[in-house]
Amino acid sequence: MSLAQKIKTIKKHIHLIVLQGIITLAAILFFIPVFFIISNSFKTDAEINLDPIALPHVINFNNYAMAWTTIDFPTALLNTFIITLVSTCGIVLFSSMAAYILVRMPSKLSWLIYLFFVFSILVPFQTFMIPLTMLSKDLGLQSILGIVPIYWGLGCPVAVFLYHGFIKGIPKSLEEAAFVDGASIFRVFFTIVFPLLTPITATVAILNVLWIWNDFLLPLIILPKQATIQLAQYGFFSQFNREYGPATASLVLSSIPIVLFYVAMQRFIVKGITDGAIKS
Amino acid sequence: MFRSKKTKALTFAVFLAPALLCYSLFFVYPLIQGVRYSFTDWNGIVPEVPISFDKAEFEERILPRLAKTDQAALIRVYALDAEGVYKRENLDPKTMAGLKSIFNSIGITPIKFIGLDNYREMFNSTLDPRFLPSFATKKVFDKKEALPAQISAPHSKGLLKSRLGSEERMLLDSVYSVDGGGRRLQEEYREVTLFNLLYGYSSLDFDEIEAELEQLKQMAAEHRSEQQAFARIDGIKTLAAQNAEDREAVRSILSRYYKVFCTKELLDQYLVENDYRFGVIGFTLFFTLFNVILANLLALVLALILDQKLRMSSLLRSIFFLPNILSLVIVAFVWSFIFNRILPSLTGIEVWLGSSRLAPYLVVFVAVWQGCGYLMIIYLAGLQSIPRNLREASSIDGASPLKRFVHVTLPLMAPAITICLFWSMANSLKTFDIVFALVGNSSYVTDTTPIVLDIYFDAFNRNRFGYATAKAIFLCGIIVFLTGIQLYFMKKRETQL
Repeated sequence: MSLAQKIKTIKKHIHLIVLQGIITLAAILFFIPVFFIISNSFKTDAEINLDPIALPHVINFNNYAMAWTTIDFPTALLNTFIITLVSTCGIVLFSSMAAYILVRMPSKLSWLIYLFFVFSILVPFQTFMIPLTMLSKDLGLQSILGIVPIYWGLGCPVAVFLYHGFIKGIPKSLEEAAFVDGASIFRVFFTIVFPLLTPITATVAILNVLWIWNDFLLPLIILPKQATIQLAQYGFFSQFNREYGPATASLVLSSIPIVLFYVAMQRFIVKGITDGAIKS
Repeated sequence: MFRSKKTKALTFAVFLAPALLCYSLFFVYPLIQGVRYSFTDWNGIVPEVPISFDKAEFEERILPRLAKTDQAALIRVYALDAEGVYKRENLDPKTMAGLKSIFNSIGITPIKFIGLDNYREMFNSTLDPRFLPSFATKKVFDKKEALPAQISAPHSKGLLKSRLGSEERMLLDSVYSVDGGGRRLQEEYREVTLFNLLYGYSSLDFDEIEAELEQLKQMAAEHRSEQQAFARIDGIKTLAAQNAEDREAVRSILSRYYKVFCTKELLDQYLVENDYRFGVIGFTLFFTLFNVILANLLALVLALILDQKLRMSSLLRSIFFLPNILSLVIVAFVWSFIFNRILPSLTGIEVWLGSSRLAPYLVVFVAVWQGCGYLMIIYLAGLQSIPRNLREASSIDGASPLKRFVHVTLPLMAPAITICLFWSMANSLKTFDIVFALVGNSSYVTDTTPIVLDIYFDAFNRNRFGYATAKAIFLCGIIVFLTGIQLYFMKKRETQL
């Protein structure tokens, strides 16, 4: 290796080390607020008031126990889980069916229906938030399962849009062969087409899980207090906003499920987000 | 594949029905209702069909004006209770609609259509002073107070900028000496000094003098000339009774008093501060602008660094993305703890979110912290879609890293940048959760109310559903407009490629 080449590789190494330093520092700064929350959640209120920056002397879980019972965490968790699961399943199923039929039976009508779905992506939720509240009251939907069809309605447009784009790229030949064998369209859809949609289904599911799990405004105006994790969190923090011990513990507690979900599904989430963003 | 046209149509309907039904019921129907409400003065509480009527009103004013069938319909629904009031039960939507049209026909409409009044009110700063940015000026000095001993540099500059006449400027210069950038009150014009001097002359008739001072004050308020004031001073009787020396001295004191009064008038009128307030629109624009620029810049830089072959890059990426998977409520509370407890004890500055100077920036800061991870992921995907050989080729050609970035990476990143810019723009315009949880009810005080929060307060705290919905439709219009621009740019680029 010549001297010039050596200098070049050394230069490159230094360059990388500097970048590594910068980005690591940035990541630490980024994480510090979360770190403070975690560290204070193990302290007593007296300790926090004395010095919120110091590390806890003893790890104690009293704050967690209090947050757990006051929030009624198991119920909130179960409620949020049910809402997210049923809503996401419904959105996936209904919009893949709708998109499939809109692509495979092209006509003026199906194009119009497609546009009818897609225009809603532009409309902010707040435009119809108030009438929606009234409607849900009239229909008696102010419950855990009642909010689910609302999520179906609100989630379908984006999902139909994503599925529509994907299905257009799938060759018809496989389905046609099955039709020739005499399979019904339902069988063809569920046994042949739906498995082929897995990549986009993953995207749709992940986008919807993140949205519905973290959603705040719709549950706030429709569900009773404390029903979901976000609502319970909001109520708890507002109520205990001077008792930082339980408040910080509740923050950690309510973040744990979604963080675990992220850690488990990291690859799919990253892919889902990029696909979702680029396609819409 | 279908036996008949009928089965084809049926299949089409069955596949489409669930999605279309939910969508129409929970999106399209409320949207249409929303547009309708935005033209009304509905407060969100009064039901569209009245719940109860007075006995006399119901029997004398309503029933006689209706046809027989309509009367029967009403009597079926409204029953007279023990207290002599006609009340109705809860009704199904169909009966409700029937009753609504009956009441409409005789002019009983709890919800009034007021045309575009809601839309006009938004842009009328006297009716809704919180919505639009305001540039009001605030008085700094009131003429009932004593003259300030000093005028600070910015106030002094403001005074010179205001339209002072040459006489007024001379007056100001004689009463206040220039001191650095600001001004200082001359010793001989201090009211305490004047008072002590004047009351040193025990032979004066002070009742008359005081009455005269009041008169002089009045003349200053009327902007009379100095000559007129001096003439009045010369006419004071108790002055004429003094010896010549004392007379001259008292006259000079009184004329200085007059100058003090005039200066007070001048400062009262011209010593003002610009009291600039964002208003809802202003803050929404401020937030959108800064959030879009800062979040995208930070995300792009992070993506460019993480795209290198670094250690732990997947852990680092996760850390930057972490705030994004947390809900905005949690993010807001994390930061409200940091702002309320950690930062005061780190820096000694007590007030963070409560300060109207700091709060707008802090809100943007938290939004950037939360949102830039998402944008970073999209930028990373954009970077990774650039073929390696393209970049390597340019580096072999000897292009410097900066040149490579500007001429190779950036143009190929253009689609990702467009996506991110417009995504974050639409989201910033719709921001709600973060401010709601971070600042909440005090957001009007610190001037950090985004439009959606304002809509929420209008609807649920002030019970003005119609007005709130009109604002929401205004927001919708803006977003549709921006998306139109985005589509235009993307189309244009596609044709260029």
